Amino acid sequence: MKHVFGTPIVDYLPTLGLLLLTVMYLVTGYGYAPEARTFPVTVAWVAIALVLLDLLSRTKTPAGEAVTRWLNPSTSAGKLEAQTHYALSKQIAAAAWPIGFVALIVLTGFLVAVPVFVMASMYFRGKRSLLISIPVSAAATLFIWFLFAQILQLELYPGVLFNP
Amino acid sequence: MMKFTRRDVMISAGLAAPALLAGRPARAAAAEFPTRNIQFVIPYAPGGGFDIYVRVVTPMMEKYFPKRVSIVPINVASGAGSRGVTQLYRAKPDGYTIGILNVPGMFILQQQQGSAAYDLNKFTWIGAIGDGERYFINVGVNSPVKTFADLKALSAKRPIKFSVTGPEGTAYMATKIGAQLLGLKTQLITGYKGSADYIIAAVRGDSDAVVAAVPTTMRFLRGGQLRPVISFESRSSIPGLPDATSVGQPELEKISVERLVAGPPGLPAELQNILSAALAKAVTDPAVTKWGKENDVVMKPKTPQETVAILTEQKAFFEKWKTALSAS
Amino acid sequence: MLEMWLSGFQGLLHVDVFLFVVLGMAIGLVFGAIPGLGGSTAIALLIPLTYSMEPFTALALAGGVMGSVPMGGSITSILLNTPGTAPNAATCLDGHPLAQQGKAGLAIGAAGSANAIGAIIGTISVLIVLPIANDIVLLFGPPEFFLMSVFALIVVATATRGKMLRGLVTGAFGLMIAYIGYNDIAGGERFTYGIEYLWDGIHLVPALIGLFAVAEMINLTVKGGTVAKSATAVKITSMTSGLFETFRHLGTVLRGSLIGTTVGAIPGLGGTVVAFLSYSVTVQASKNPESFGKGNIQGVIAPEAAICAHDCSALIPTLTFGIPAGAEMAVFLGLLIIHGMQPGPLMLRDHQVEIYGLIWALTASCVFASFVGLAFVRVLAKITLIDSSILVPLVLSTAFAGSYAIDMSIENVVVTGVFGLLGYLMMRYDYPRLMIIVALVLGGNIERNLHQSMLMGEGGWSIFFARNISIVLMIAIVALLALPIFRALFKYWRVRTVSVGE
Repeated sequence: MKHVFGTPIVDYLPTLGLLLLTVMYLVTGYGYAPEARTFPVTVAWVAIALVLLDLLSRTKTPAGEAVTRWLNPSTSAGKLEAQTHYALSKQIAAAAWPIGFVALIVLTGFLVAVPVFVMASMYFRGKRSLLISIPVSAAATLFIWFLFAQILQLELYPGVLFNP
Repeated sequence: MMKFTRRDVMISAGLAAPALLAGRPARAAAAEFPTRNIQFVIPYAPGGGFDIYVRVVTPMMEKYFPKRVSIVPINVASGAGSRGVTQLYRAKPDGYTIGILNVPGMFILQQQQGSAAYDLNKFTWIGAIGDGERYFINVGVNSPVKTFADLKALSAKRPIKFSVTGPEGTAYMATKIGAQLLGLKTQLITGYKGSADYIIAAVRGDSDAVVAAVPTTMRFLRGGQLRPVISFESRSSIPGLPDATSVGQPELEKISVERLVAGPPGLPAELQNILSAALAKAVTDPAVTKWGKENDVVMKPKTPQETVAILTEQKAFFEKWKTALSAS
Repeated sequence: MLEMWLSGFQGLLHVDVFLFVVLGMAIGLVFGAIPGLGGSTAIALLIPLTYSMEPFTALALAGGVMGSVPMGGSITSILLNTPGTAPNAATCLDGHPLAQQGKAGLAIGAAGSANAIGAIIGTISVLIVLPIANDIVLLFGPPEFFLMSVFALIVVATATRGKMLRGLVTGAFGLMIAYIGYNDIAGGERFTYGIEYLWDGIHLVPALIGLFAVAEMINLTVKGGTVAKSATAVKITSMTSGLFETFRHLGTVLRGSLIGTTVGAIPGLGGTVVAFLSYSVTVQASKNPESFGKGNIQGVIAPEAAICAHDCSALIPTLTFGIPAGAEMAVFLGLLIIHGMQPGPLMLRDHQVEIYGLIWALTASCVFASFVGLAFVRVLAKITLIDSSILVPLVLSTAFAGSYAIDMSIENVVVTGVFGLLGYLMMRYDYPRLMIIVALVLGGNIERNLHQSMLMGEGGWSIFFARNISIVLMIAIVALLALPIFRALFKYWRVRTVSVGE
């Protein structure tokens, strides 16, 4: 793991991501009329300053430590409780499931996505038996259908594939 | 986006199956219309003016169909209403989806959003709920301004501060056009969240004056909070006030909010007539008329032709003032 | 007036009216619990059913719904980190950690009792304030709203004391997101990049569902197992332990109720901000602020008391002026008008009995809902023992469906997904989530109110000095900012005198 200023690169990533987003926001902001851009642009500049401070606080340099002590005391190395580290792959996999669900909902609509997702989560990922997986998937779909489509008379999204 | 989730699919399938199987033409389908619930699209959040009017009228409409069905109002308020309008525009023209549209609100919105998702001219117009509402200029009851003459005098000294909603709203348009026609110098305090909000601003004294529609004005007048100083109507409904005729600006009366009911483009004429007749009867139903009286809302039935005429007139008016509105 | 107040209460004692209150309560509980649905959806749904009702009965039903929604929301917040309604997100912060410790029953019990007491205090305040409500609403305008929003933002920021830099970063980020959408002030869109859905900005509730529910579900998937770490704690859940905790921290309840009541009467900040504000103030006032976010029961009591008190007093601007203090009030207003009751001074004159009936119904519903919560505490706590492989897909399905159902936009589901990822990242990298929410809610307010204030009066900043309440608020803000400096100075001075004295 490559270290920059005494901290692994991974720890910088979220802050760098924020910095990128803020710069994009700022650039877009300047494209608007003065009256419309005052607030967003001011906030963005403040955000940049704060994000840079945050980056600094993550380094192990004396300045960084000072910033951490003053502004982020509970995260300084001495006070951090042991945070369990989970394997990155595990976390990515865990995050991928809801995202996949969203994609499935968009493509096929709720009434297909829900049973498929619940089944897949329970049977394939969770290694539960069919005896539990099938009834639970069916029950979940039925519940959503009953509550949203029947009682609320809403039209559950039918999905891009079924609705050109 | 329709059939998959309706419980009535079963019912209508049962009812329509013989017709479908026999391959009867559309005219016969109209003879059986409606056979299931009708969806009424409201492109505004529940609780707002349009929503209320629809919810008062549609239960009455249900009575006047050949067969008794439910009219289900659904609110699709995303995108300041454009989502609902688009949804109505793209709906199947089978008579089971109709909606209410704000004119000229929709013109303004379309201009602000630059959206080409719908063409207001292509809707199948059914009728209207409520008559076009005209405006008053009001001041807070504690304001030093007592008459329109006072207001004009003030305008000569400094711009008059009007509190309004945002540029996408009809109040903004009414204020700007009205002020221009009346020769008032104005400064608009924009961004208020609704009519009650910006009217309270005037009552509080944050702004000098507000433009408000007749029912709202009456409500606050009776509550002892507002004082109207001039009516945009050709004949002021509150006696003793100057109006469009007396100040020689007949165009003021053209500034109004119309609540027009429409179906998607391509709706067959037979279905349009059934819906239009039911709506007209509902609007004149005694229960609705009574509610209208209590709330200062005039309920007048409109035929599809009259509705189209209103639309055309409003469009022309809006086109004329479009450039004046977009200049700040 | 007293007779009206009493006859309002008596009106509830009729069997059919009473049944409607209970029905409303049941509906409110369910709708409050399911994310995305809430009081506004429930009342909108019920409007057609009320057509044939007497106004009094219709109001009793509405009151029943409104009173129990917070309780429903707090149950899912605690058990599943899923805010049933936006204000309940504050309850997630300490409520869910408690559930993870197997103390879900305790949390739910405390939430319920805080709810009930908050509602009662809120009701009494409303009754006292209603006659002068007119004047109160008129005292607060854009300058005051601007200062109040800034004040709230600072209070919440200081509550993240241990991680203030990170809190400020997320706060700034939240503000940035708040400016996405149509600009009400000058017209024109900002940061929508041509996406029509973003015209209204990032919708709050889908974002909340993502930040809390989806993020937590991802976390649960990674950790595996069940929500509650220890089954033994869950098994000894008692019905009354939560109740006792609330009475032990009566000061917190009172403080939360006070905040909820005052802020509710002024249609400026809204229920979500109130809940977080109450939470933050409690953190500030506490002797060990670091314990918050890890299962401090006061972190549940404070927001819940505030929410219910707020809901009661939100009736004030709604009824006296027709200014709805939130989406739920807006729909409620519609219900009123459909039944021929115009909000305004006349309403207080002509429909006093109905109003009192409504307030009683709301309070009664809140209290009943708490009892229901307390009664089912042991059953509900068992939910924390369901394995994640079953729980997660079920929660996700309901969460996404609820998010969609808010206004039938599939984009809501996408927003929930994106914010779910964001929320998880924030959890992993230890960025406090409460700042982003408060900033998101207040960002638009701050800009709009400042803009309006600058146009009022003589123009520019002068208006802030021309109004009494503005001046008071500005002093309060300065005091708030100066407080940590004084504290540090005081500590330093104390240390010096002690060491010198030796």
